[in-house]
Amino acid sequence: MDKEQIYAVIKKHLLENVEDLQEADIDPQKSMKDYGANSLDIIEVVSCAMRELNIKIPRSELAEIKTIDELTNKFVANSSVES
Amino acid sequence: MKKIGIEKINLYGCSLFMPQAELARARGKDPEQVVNDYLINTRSLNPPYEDTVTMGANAARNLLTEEEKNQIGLLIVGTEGSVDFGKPISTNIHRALGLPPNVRNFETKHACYSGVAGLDTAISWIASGLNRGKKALLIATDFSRQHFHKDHEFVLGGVAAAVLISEEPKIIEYEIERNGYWTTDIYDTFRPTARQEAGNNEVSLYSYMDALEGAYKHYQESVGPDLNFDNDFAYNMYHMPFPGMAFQAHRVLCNLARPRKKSEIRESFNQKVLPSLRYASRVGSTYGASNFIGLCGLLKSIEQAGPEERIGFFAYGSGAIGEFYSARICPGAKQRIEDLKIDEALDQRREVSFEEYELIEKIRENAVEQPEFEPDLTLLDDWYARHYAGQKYLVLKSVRDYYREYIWS
Repeated sequence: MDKEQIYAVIKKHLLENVEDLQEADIDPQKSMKDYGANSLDIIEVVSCAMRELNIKIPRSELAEIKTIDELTNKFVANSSVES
Repeated sequence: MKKIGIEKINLYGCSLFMPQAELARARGKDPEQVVNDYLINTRSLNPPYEDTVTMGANAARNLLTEEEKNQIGLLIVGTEGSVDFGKPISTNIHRALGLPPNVRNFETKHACYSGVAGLDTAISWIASGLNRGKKALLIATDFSRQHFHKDHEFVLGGVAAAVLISEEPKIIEYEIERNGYWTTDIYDTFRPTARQEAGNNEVSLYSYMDALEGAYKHYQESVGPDLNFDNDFAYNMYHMPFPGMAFQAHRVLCNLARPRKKSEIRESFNQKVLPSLRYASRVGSTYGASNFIGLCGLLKSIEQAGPEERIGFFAYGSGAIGEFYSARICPGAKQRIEDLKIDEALDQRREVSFEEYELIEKIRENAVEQPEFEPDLTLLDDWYARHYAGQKYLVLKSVRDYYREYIWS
């Protein structure tokens, strides 16, 4: 699965979990927190995206990730190992 | 297989409280958002003459008759806020409660898992038959430290629970063959000194969810492929570092069983989980007593408890471990919880102002590890004289050359 597809899945779950957020407003260089997501929302976005992408990473490894792009890269790296 | 479960239970939510909205305002935060995020309305607070020893004893003080005291063969006290690194506070509490000398006792530590670690030990002891007919008294007692201006200042508090575990369950009966646990070595939240509570809240939230999923899957292995998350549990209870966490935990298990919309999860949460938040929303963080506080809240809040209804429990301790286990509600359990009048006991707590909160927390912090300490009983407009005197609560009288003396008020 390429980066574009993974980013699309993360974005979809971010839009589902954060109110009043428009797709055009999302900048991957920013943190989900910049869009009003609290820690619990972020956990949900990460959990749902991992489930859909069939990626298994201990969530605790994701806590230090700062931006949406970094999260996408982490998933890309893990996805290629899996396949 | 023997029946094993909770015969009696009670909790102690301290004698003071601070409204969360007041604290938020004083710290320049939006009070509504702080209350809604964490689902804590008020947090418990201890006067300087209380600590984890007094809280534990005060949870148990009216639990046992004299005859029942002689039936105790095991006393386990779970805490992450002990007052000594060697001497377990189970010994202080053993003396205070006047238990007989032939009682094995010790302290358990695994952050917020200490209570359920003790519970598992008590259950195994009884199930093995090595209890020779005796019962176990389990106490979980924890209190936060001082964290002015930190993010986690809004998830502090404290509470103690005392639980009589025996072969005559009257509140819940544990399904001792159904059990799952999961562990990993991680620094999420920890207490490296007697004053510090260190860590990273985000790491802890993530590791909690990893442990929840891991423990639930392990539980599933013990039950078999027929386990149905939606149908098999009348209620679900989750460890509550703060009550707001329970929604996210339920969301994870709901979606694990079958991905669904947030509104459907909210509905399931309101029915199966929300009743257990009742007391946690009044005391704040529930630490090692969490599952027991949740159980009291659940049985008090629901209209009617059907006999044999199954509760799914999740316990979590930073460090970290998760355990998923289950129990059935005993007939008459709801009435027994009603009779404890827990709400009324919490109503008797004194509200403190923000200034009083800061004052008390500073005094408490300064007393930590001091060889000499005598708490001022006149604090807070003679709160001791008005609430404690003659009411038989255990209090710390003094510390002399590190020896701690406790007396009944």
